Amino acid sequence: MARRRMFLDISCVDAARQRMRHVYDTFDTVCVQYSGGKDSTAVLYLAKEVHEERGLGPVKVIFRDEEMVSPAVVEHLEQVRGYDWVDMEWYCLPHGQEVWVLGRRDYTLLWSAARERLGRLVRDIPPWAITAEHFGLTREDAIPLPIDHYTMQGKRGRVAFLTGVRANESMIRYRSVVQKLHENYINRPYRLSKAIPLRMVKPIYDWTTDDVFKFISEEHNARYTAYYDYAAMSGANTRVGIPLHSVAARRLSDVISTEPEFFDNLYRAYPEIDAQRRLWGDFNVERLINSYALQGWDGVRRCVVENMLTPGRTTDAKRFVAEYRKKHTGDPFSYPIDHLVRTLLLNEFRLTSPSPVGPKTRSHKMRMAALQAAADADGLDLIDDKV
Amino acid sequence: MEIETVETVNLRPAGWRTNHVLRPDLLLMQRSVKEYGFMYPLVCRDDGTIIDGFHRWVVAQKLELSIPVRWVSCSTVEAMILHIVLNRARGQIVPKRLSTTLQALAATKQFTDVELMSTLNMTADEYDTLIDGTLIKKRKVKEHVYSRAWIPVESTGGEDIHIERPPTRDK
Repeated sequence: MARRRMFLDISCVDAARQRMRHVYDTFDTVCVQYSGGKDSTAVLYLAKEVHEERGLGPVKVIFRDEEMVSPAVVEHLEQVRGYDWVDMEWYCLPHGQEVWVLGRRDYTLLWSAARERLGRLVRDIPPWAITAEHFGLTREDAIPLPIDHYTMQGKRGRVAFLTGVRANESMIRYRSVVQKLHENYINRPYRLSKAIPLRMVKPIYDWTTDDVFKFISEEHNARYTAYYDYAAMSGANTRVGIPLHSVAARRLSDVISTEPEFFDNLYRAYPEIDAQRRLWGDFNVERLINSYALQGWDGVRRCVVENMLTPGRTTDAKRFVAEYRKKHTGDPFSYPIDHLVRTLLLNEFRLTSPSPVGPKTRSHKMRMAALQAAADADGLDLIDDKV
Repeated sequence: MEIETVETVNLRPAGWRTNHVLRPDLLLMQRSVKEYGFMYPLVCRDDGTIIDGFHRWVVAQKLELSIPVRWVSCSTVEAMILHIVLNRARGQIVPKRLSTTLQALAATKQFTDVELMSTLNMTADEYDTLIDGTLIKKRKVKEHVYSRAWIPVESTGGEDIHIERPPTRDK
């Protein structure tokens, strides 16, 4: 069943406060999953309000440090960690991450001991961090269980992690908050065992970016990371996060215009990213997609061999291609080969199922033209494009 | 034009530097200096403050070379302006650093806003953003009215939701 939004007669901030009280009423332990960005900062201050209202002491904050964090964000995180009303757990756990350069996907282990020995960590591990060693593991390999399993340790009873996810950040995020009708902002984490009583909570799901900044700056006169000011000055993207995965790496120029010294730190660890900086502006990715797509399934095979640089990525890509091929057989117009190649080269596919081409894409137009041609041949009018 | 060759210890970097050469390019510069030497001089104030050529000075230090310098007799404020003009003309400025230097220049009160804009060839929008230096003003957060809350309900058809797109181009 489709969903739509029903607007209420209260502001998003008042609604978020109600949601926060409900979460504190129904969970035994509540933690803010903090990233240093604006959205989780807003959630942090919402939690602070409840803690002050109920005399709950410091707010429990969890930060999952992914090594490739902007210097301005790290500085902000260290300030937040020092607030007397914040009790922060700072995790530096080794897990896999993609390094995407001109469509080619490589893999790196964050906080890897091997890279540390070579002096090629993007940043040093902060002395106060909780590391793999604290769980009896090493930093030679990725942690064997989902990261929430580790950040959950030591938390009592039913646990809620508050996140700054907002619906209008992406369609995927929008869908994640409209699937459920009751307590739509409380979800079970993906891939985590049902036996673990953890829920992810999205109290500000209906906020816009301006709501977030207004709340932080006017209601709490609080600081946010200086990265956003740098982004405003240089016209860059206002999202903080790992800059080398397939979507973010396409905006590597934002890193250079906001914090060029951060690019230098990344370059020390991953010299191959210089090709992305120098060539992406003129790189004709459409021609590459066409060159693979025109060769049909042989082209798809070539695309996987030439662009998935690790066995893990190759396995993921093959699984995705097999699933896509099944859908293509049933509906070749909605699942055309160029859409598959585009996804393999440009988008995240590892943990997702194939999705059909969306409107306003070339494949969609081709599909509509073919349907129109078939309808014309039958002497029928195509009423709308929602066939 | 008089050019003098001096030791790197006689020069010092300026605290108001607004540019940055990325590490891969700096390594390239180092290689080129090693092979061909310095092709054009640094611009420095009489007191040794580097106005233009900080990264060549870094390379010279590393390679233990002396370096050609063109001396300029000017005040600190004039040096700051010359530095910005030379680097803007080459397109090599980091906005966050330019913002700090521009704020320092404005604080000297030696120029009006219009004079600074004209000297540095800036539009009013660019000047305003850099002199304020915060996202809050740019987004006009003060005038913003909080959105209404919403909940999802079942529907026979979907609806369009506005997705906030990043401002920079994505191919």
